[in-house]
Amino acid sequence: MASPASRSAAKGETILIDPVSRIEGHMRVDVVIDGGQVKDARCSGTLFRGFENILVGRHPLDAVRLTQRVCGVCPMIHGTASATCLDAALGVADKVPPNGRIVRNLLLGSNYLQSHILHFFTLAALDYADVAALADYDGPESDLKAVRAFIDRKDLAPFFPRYEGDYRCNKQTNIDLVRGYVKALTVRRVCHEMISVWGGKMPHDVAMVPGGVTSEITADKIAFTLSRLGEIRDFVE
Amino acid sequence: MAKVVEIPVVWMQGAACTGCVVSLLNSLSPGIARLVLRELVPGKHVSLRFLVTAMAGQGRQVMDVVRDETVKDKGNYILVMEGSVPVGHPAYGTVGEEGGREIPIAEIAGNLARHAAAVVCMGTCSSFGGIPAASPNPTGCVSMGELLAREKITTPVVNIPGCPPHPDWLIGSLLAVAVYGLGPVAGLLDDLKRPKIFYGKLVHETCPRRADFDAARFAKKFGDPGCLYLLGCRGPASYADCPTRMFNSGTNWCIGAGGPCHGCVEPEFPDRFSPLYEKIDDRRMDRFRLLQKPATAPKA
Repeated sequence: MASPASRSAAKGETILIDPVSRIEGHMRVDVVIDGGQVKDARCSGTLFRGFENILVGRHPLDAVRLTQRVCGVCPMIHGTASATCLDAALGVADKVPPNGRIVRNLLLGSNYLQSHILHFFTLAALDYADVAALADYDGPESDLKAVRAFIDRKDLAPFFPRYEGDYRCNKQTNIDLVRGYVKALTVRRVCHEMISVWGGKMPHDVAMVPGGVTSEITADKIAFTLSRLGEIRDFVE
Repeated sequence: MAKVVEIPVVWMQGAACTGCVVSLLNSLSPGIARLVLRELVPGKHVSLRFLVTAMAGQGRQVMDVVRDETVKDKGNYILVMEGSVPVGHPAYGTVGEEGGREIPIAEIAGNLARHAAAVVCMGTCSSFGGIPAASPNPTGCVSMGELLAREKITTPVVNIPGCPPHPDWLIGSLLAVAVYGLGPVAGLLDDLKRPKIFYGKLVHETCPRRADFDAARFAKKFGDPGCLYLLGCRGPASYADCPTRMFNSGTNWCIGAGGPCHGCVEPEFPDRFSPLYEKIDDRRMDRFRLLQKPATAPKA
């Protein structure tokens, strides 16, 4: 293996991870180790798009739409920041009606739930959960039987290759984690449905605008939201 | 048990926001767990060989997957490209390192495209350039089609624009390529290489507010009922089935939430559709003749 180009002046062996997977975006990490000790560590984002420059000279209203495209996992926070900036700039920060404020909070809060479930299960869990624990699963759950059938077919992407070794959970915990991983894929989607009913679609909503939101508040949307929130709550609890 | 044919998919990301991956995760039928674990249709399974956002591996071991794929599945795998390709400077976007040199996205995307069975451009960025390529295009982003033209790569391309695209648009297209092959699929694309089954009609043609447009009932401010034409709707210039398919498990779509269509499926997005909330160029409306009353109105 060729020695990686260290970005550090520290002496020692460099461990390079590029790309770092299961995040949003492009990232590399350089860690310098000497005598079993970390001497230096650097994280770099390896993509530059220049969003700030793209915004210069545009119509201010467009910012709420464009800035969401900074990140497809957390667009609502960029949209919210942009809309509240414009509220202030246009002098309407104190004129956002209560319903506008509440729907904005629903949009952002639902994305918050989505991001947490995505991060914990879809992204981080594969560092802890050993999917291979399902190789001899003979229980009744259809999702877990599907995981076993998947392992039997022997084409194991995207769960392999992986770093082998330190999966320290016992078998039952692994089974529970994999069950959660599969279930979380559905529940995360439900969080986005909760945004979509107010925001039009996700990722990247259309309802958040300076002064409030564009969407109408109706009883059926409230029922929809409470029902979806209940499903998410059941999963989290 | 009958042998299952694997459809190898390499999903590479350039100047992207990962919104296209998240949209794929939102797929309802098949759900993403079903797509990854089970056969898409009897005898065919999508093998997601490379997708940085979801794959277990890291660093060199996943870069080896990319290298191996171009050899062992040469001419067989489908490259799904998300994001546009920065060519302004090699350092604007890199993935992985080889022999001490960081690999520019343009190089890795070009190599993968050259050896792929097909390139599926997922999203407006890879299809047409999108927001990273918007003025002043700080990093010199180009679409995947443009990169292929520059590198004289002749691999067939299917564009699935949208910001993000509906997951059905991708899965339906992948399935068509896997089952029918590229030959027949090429005949199903429009002049912008978009599958006509998804991008065959204008948003304006199937919009539930179309009757408001025809009757000149226009929303004047956000939240008003009526057609969003005066608030900048790009539905009359945008080809997609959003009004009937709807996003997020059929929950809603942009105009359903009172937001005008921004035309995110079109090459004009965002620059030539900007400012997004300004009324569309009237010359684009010529084709919708209903606006003009007949010279002699029929008696009611």
